[in-house]
Amino acid sequence: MCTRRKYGVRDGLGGSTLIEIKDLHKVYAFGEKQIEALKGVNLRVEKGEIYGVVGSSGAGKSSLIRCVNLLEKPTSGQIRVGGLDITSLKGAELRDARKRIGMIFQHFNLLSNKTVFHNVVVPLYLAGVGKKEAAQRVVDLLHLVNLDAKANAYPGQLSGGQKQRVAIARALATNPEVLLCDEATSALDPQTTDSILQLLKEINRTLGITILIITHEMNVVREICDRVAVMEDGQIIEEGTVVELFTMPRTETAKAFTKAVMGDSVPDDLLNRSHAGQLVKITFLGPHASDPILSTLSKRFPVYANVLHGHIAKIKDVPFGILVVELTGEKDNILAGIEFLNQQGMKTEVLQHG
Amino acid sequence: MDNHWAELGSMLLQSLTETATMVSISIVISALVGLPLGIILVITREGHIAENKWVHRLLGALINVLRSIPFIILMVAIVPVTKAIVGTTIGTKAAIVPLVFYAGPYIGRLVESSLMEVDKGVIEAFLAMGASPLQIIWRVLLPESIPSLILGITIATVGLIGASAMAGAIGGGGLGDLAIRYGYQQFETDVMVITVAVLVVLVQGIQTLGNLLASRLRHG
Ligand SMILES: Nc1ncnc2c1ncn2[C@@H]1O[C@H](COP(=O)(O)OP(=O)(O)OP(=O)(O)O)[C@@H](O)[C@H]1O
Ligand SMILES: [Mg+2]
Repeated sequence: MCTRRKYGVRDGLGGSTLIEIKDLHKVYAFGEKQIEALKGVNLRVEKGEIYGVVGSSGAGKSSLIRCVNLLEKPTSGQIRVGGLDITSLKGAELRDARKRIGMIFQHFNLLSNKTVFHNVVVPLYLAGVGKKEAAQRVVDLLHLVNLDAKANAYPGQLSGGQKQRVAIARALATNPEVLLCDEATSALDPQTTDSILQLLKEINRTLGITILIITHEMNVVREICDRVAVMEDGQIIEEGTVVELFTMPRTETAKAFTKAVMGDSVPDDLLNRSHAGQLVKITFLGPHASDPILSTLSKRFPVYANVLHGHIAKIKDVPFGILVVELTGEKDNILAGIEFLNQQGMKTEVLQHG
Repeated sequence: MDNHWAELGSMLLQSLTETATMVSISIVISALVGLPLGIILVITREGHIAENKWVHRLLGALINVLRSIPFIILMVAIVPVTKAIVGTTIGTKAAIVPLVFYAGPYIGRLVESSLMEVDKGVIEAFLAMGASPLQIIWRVLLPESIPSLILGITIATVGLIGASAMAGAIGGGGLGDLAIRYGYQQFETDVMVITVAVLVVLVQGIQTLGNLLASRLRHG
């Protein structure tokens, strides 16, 4: 899409590929029964981006992400992480590769009988880091996730959000290139979810760690992802930048997902009523969202704009808004006005001709 | 009269020492046998870190066979083994062999059920970290189940006290032997009552200690 770069959202192109998944199939077999959870998935995650995979329950999201570090063995297909063919690895080689891939889970998966400190230090011990150096690293990690004071607490004494912070610190201990997140915020309330997402964003920015995040929550994608894939029935049915997905969803699934979060649907009664002027839906993104664009329009053209419906939200950090306005005036002037809006980088759609 | 009590006292003390020796040595050896048995039973299960159907089935069957033999028969049945190991078939030392055959597989099952309780998600997190099977046993399975393992050992210890009383009957000595020889066979009711009372206190004490230790170590 040619409109991508204008919005100032990193689109992940031009970097080097960190995770490459080719024609991935996964069949679960138990007894006579077989479930084909992945039906030929192709995916590329670029270095430094936050890549989201959304889909409803049973779409195969977890199966996909669990194949990336071989927690689940693919039935066929290829997975490369940092150029290394993961699918061909076994034993010690696989364990070494896994040390470069961090992972966090929906249910945190911490050692319940060990302190926060111990939970975070373990991967360092596994990697053969000396006691003293490891202890210092844990201090730094706990600082990063804002849990300096909790080193001696046990997981049972922490809130869900704090537990996930411990899990993040643990996952980052060995300086992985990638962080895999399987529904990492699904067990958390909205506010806590937000604070964890901010932390993930910060980690991505400051440490440059590539993040692959699996979720069924569209607001997670909207908050932090650069690019996103929509999964359904074991396949990726739509893929692109988050901005594309929200502004121009192609599949029904994507439309349903984005609608819930953006609230960008135009109320029906607005369309059913007849209007004197032209009903126009204006979608605007990026810096324009805060421009006094309608005043400028009225000043430049003899056209009046009456706002009937509006909604503003953010996609990652980029403002995104939708306005339904009624434009009244001479037909030619209205057309020129719409053209002007288009030139300003807005997307316009005439809903009803006057 | 005084003489009677003094004699009874010294008999009790000696029997208590014999029981304590039998039980403590047997529990240590049984734990050393049972712990690996339980670990192997768990990790060779389907979908676990060292899945191996045949090892799992074979070991499970062996344990079941040993566990289904009544202790009193087991004691007699393994007399040749006892003789080969300790050189004699009577006395406290000889009693330890059947006790280990009894408690080892039992502890194996207890350990198995404790380790099964460990959250699969945590094991998975460690696999994702690149931990080896041995590291998972050492860093996850054992530390996460320590409280439950201690309760298991406590149960096995109490079981061993009961079994050691039976072992006493074939010349192993100990409190059970005392109760049967004097109390039951010679109708000295007071000896029997006191012996049983000592056993009750012993069992209570061990169970309380085990519970306390387990709750101290449980943080989850
Ligand atoms: N270990 C397994 N054994 C058998 N079937 C499985 C297994 N794991 C997943 N499946 C099946 O594979 C399909 C995809 O499951 P998966 O967990 O990947 O979906 P998901 O998108 O993560 O769903 P959710 O949002 O509910 O977590 C489902 O039909 C599921 O029942
Ligand atoms: Mg899932």
